[in-house]
Amino acid sequence: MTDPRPVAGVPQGTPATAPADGQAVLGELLRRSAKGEQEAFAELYDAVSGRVYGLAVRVVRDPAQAEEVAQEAFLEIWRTAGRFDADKGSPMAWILTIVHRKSVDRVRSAEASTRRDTTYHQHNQPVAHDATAEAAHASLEARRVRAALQTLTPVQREALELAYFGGYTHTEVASLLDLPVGTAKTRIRDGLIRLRDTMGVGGR
Amino acid sequence: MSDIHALSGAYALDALDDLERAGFERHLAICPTCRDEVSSLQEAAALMGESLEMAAPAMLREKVMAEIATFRPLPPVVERPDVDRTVVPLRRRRLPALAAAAAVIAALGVGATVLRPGDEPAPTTISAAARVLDAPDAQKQTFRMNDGARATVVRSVSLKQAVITVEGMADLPEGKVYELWLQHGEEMVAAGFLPSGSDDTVLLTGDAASASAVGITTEPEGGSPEPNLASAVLLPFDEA
Repeated sequence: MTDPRPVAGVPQGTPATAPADGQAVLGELLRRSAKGEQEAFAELYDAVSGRVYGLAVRVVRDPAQAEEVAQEAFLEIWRTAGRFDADKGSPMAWILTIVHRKSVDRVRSAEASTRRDTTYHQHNQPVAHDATAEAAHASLEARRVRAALQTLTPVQREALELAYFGGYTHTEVASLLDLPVGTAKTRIRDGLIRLRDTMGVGGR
Repeated sequence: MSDIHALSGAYALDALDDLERAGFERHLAICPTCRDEVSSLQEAAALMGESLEMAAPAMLREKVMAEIATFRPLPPVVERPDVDRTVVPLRRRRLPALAAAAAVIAALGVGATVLRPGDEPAPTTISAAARVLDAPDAQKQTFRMNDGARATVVRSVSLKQAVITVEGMADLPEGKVYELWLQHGEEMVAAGFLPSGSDDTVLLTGDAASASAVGITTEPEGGSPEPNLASAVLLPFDEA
């Protein structure tokens, strides 16, 4: 962490999520894990478990289920480490993509009908303000991301948060935000592109 | 051109339902622009998740380390997406195979079992195709035809199924269709159609694990009991 960045402003074109050397370390740990080195995987676990579990809790909400999801995700990370391709993205994004997919799958299958039938509209709140979020670690990077999210339109931001943290589909997001069907996917894409460009990630 | 590209953001956030996800993944298999965009948007999505650090339960580390000790990491995917092969029209020496296939088909009278586009419920087709594309043992090969069209064949031996994706196939005149075949030894067995012609992704019907190649021919609408040899191209599978 030798690379302090402005907090209030949102600098353009800064490098990816974690400092580049941190990502390089994770990439190397993945490469060694792919060869079956359990010590490397243990190191990887120690480096990312807080973020893996934090994301799982945020989406799944129930800590016990989040723990199961995190465990499933780590197994998949171990098994598919050889398929991580540094040319296509950062190790942290690759890992969190796996965790998020598993979390969303869990939340959809576990809550299936009840959530959608009875409590659908109770969720019509910006999801950034529940107890889980307060437990989240407020890092410098987090503040940068929050600042970047503030540059989105309110609808873009809400659509992103409902989809990413709430695990809702874009059609459900449209309904929650009273948008015409088919509009939420556009808001989500526009918002993500804005976030990507503001944070200067994923550029090739 | 549909607006399927617009789903890239929702896909990166896992905000597609299962059916849309499978459909979009079929699209990703053939659209490098969307693949790049999805990767970059997944980076952005991960930023939203990265700040949610919470100490994981102490027991989780032990559970994870105990579990991974019982699994070997999967081998890397050895892809050759850009090593295109030039496909030449079917060689003469394949003629006996095709003729034999025709004979077998005629003898069994199975021409009528040829699956027509729309016979199979779309959801099944889509999820089955996605399963093949996602299979751990999926083998992918890309071929380039003489006219510049491309075909990508993905086969999962464990699922015994194969999916073909074509791009830029020449439009066919009214009343003609592209028909698919699987070559089994000396036989060619009808394996479905490319319903929409020029750009398409289709799950081949029949056992792809024991087949040695996929054939594409031009046939009258409804398909033919025997392949039209003059139009045939053959896309060989790698050894399983």
